[in-house]
Amino acid sequence: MSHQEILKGLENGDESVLSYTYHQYVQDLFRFGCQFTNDRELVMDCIHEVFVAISTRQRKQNKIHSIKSYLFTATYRQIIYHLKRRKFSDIENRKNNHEEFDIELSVETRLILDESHREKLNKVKKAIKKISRKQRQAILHYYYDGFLHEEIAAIMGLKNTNSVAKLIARGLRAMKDGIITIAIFLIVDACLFLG
Amino acid sequence: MKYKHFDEWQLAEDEYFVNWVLRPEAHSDKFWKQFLENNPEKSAEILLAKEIVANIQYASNPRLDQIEYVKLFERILNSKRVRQSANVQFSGKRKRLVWLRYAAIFLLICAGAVLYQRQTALTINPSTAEKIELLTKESPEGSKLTTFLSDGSKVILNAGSKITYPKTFSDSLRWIYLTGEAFFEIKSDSTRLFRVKSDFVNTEVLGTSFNVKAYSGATDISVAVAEGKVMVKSTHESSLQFEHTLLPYQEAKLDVKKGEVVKREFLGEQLFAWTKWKLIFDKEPLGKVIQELERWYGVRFEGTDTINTSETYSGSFDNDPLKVVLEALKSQNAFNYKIIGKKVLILKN
Repeated sequence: MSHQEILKGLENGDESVLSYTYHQYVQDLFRFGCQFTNDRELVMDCIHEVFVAISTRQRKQNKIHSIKSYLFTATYRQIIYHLKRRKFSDIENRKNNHEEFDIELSVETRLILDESHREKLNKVKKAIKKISRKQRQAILHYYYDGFLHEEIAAIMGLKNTNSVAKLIARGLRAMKDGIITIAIFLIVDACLFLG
Repeated sequence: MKYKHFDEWQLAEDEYFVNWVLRPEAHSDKFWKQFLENNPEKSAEILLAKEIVANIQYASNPRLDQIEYVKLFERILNSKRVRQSANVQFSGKRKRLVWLRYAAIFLLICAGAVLYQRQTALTINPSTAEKIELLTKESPEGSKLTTFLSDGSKVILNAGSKITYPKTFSDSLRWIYLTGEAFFEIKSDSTRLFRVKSDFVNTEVLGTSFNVKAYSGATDISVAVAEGKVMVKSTHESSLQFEHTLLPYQEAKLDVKKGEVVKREFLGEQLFAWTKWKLIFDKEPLGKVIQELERWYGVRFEGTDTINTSETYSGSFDNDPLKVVLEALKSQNAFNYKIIGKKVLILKN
């Protein structure tokens, strides 16, 4: 279904389009929301609000360029709004700054590593911990969620796409050594396997 | 061409490159293949950059489980409907107010008050509409359970199975979440679909009887129809997408490991025999027979590693005690055994 068709369907209150949009994005939104808080119920409430708003024309939709990034932005607004209101009573559910948008390299789940690999991987993990929260968020949105620079800027409330590109480049370079060792492992492994 | 001088980092940052790795399309695919052909010395950079992009993921990746998933969607749908009907009433009332405006300010205030009340009544509504009370029924290993749902439908639960469903169904959809095996006799209601949700498979009917077998972690899932017409669809989480219509004595079988669905015809009542307490094996591998017996009688087998579990066996038992079944297997030279409490110990020959 194209972006235009989805928007039109939602505007007309078409429930099959709503269902499609929900199926398509709800798990992504839930993962995103859970980066800010451990309170699953709160995240679900926020997602509920966002979907009801978009399907009852409470927001002007002609400005929406991409459904996915709109949903992310709206969910973020909801979550921050609720978290701010509950700030004092709900400290245990708020995540620490270093837990938000924690990055993992999928080699960990894809390969069984031996001791020497594991040691190197631990170094990489430490390097990842050092990069800032904003850098991690931008990197995950870019490489995992597949957003464009412009969309990331909207989600993170940044003024221009340049600052997004900078966040990604700096974060990536901080992780550089680690990622390269891992990438080389993988490629060597793949070559051995094939050859 | 700018990419000629890019190293792997510049590539990994480039939007066009990243977009190609994450969502390859004919156009970008052609571009990068062509680029690689013209610049073979760049293949290492491209390979590395691809690995960088593909390796980054969220460390914490929570997901909605099946029940949360359905509940949240029902909630959204309910609130949406309530708010939309609220909007319609609101605008209708307003037009009349325009006409009345010149008649009397007094009336306007009255109407305003009515409107306000009506609106608050409607906004209170969502919270009551949203609350879905869920019930869970479980049939532990070694037993079976028959239960009735609020619409009069009957569900027979096989051993080691569980269902979760709303206490009262909504006007638009009847649904039930199943792990394990159950036989359904659904009351016909042409306006309300009945959906059985299970791992990988959704089964949808308007009113029929059928059997769903979807134990959690099982390698095959089966939907078999006794009466009427049934739709079997993949769930959204399933990587394999399929949709089949089944008629009486047709079965859809999903092989989770191979990732394929087979639709076939079957004869006789064998697939439904368990609902009448009949245990039937038709050339079943011993491994499956043992799994079935463990559930049926609530026992555990030990020492199965010493026997050939792929050998097939047949047999039919009518509510017989475990000993009878084991003796039958023993007489077919499957194994020698000893029963100790809730354990069946397989003895080495």
